[in-house]
Amino acid sequence: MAIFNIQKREIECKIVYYGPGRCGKTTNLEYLFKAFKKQVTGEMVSVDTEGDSTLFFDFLPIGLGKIKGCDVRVQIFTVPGQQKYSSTRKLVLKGVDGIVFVADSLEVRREKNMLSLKDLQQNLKDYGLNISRIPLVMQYNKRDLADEGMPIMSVEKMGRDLNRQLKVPSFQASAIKGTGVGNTLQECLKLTLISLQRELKWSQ
Amino acid sequence: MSMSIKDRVKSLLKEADLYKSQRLLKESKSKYLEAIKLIQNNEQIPNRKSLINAITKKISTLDTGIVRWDKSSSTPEVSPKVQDLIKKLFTPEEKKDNDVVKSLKSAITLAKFGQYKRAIKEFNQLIRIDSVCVPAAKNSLKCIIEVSSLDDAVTQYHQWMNKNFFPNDKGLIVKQFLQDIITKKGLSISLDTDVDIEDKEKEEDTGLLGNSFMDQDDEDIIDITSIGIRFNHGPKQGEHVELDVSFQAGNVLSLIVSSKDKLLIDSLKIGVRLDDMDFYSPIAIFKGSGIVEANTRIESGPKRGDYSLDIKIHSI
Repeated sequence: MAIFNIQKREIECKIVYYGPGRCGKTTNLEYLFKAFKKQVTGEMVSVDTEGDSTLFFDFLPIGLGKIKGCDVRVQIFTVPGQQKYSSTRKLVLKGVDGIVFVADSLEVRREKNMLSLKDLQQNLKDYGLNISRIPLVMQYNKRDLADEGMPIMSVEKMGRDLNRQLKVPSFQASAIKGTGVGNTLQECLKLTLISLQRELKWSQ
Repeated sequence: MSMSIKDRVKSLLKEADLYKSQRLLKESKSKYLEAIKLIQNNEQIPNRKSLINAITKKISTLDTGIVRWDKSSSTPEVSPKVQDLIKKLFTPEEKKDNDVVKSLKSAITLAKFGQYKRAIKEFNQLIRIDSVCVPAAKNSLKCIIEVSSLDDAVTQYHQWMNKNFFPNDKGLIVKQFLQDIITKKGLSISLDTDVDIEDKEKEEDTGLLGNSFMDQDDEDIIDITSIGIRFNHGPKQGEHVELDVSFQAGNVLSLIVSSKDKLLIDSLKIGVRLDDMDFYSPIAIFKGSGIVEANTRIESGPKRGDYSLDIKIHSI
């Protein structure tokens, strides 16, 4: 939940990168950390396993500067994607203001994408939030694997699986190469700030 | 070997290697197995045996990784530095909290992330403080059960009692809490059967502090007869409204609001969070929060035109 300090004109909000295991959530943050170093206000922290999977979360604090006279800071988290970390995933998701759902374009991960989205929907519901009302952006990651001859799903197929009802903005990406990563976050931030603006009832 | 079979095997091995590099171990194994099957079904492939042996070795390495992953804990104890970060990032803060309450909340956060050993240390430091000794003790016992055993929790409880750690009747509350856990597990360990708690001590701070960090499913929701809502924003800002509960199913309370009270109905739209609530039960009043889950106009019967609301208890 966003923290508003009216006297100090500060807003701090929380963005969570969600998705199945090994889909590229951490890779997204690693790219953002390198590419937007000037905006990063602290160290990126990764709590992961020996095998490099996220154990608890990754954390990246970013400052957006002043927007409508308010100092806006964003805390970006990733959740662990594997099924066995479901309770931790739910804890990290708590208080979320905006979500990037990272889907794996590999054909073999199709079912995992859908299960993860369902998991997100349920966790949000448990927190009294509706997935169709929270700022949400889809990222179809690993598009670069098509160049290596790997079987990946078409964007249309992924849209049908994941975005047919939600109809949220979606972006193709290759987090490992950095393409689409910045655009995804930018759109999520835009939607989140619009939502917070409504909540704060900022006037023109 | 025909070109198509050779290409197919190469493609499968390449796919398997890529999945392995992405640590998609099960997917990788599946492709190696497919490659083996293809080779086994084609006798004209030269060096079939050595090919299959080589792929089998790769599968064996994958199997080791898969087993190690499956056996690994989902909440291992992490370094103190990371534990501090977990406390900082995930402990809910309220301005009114003093240092003791903040310490309790952050220890609860550690427990939620499975950092039981450190959480136990921190809870045990708080047990001596009167205002938080009960939640600290409850949470410490829960952590001991998670990381060690129920027997160890019982031992810890007896140690506290022998040293008169708890003032007044607070020891009885802790005893009842532990006894309930023992009973739920179907065991017959008795702590002290002679004492009956008649007056449940009212705790001013409920929610996280009043209960342990245990999952929602473990908590027994008491019977709520009516609620009070303090509106801090919206059309009813500043007002305190009391409503009778017409029906309760677990932690969902059903109420009926008269159609004449349009402002109230508008203030209780679906999804609205009510952070300042009173829950009235036959034995005490509890403070907590809730979320409006349903707000429906009654279309028939004596209450036609009025509104039926469902409020889910979020914390109590």
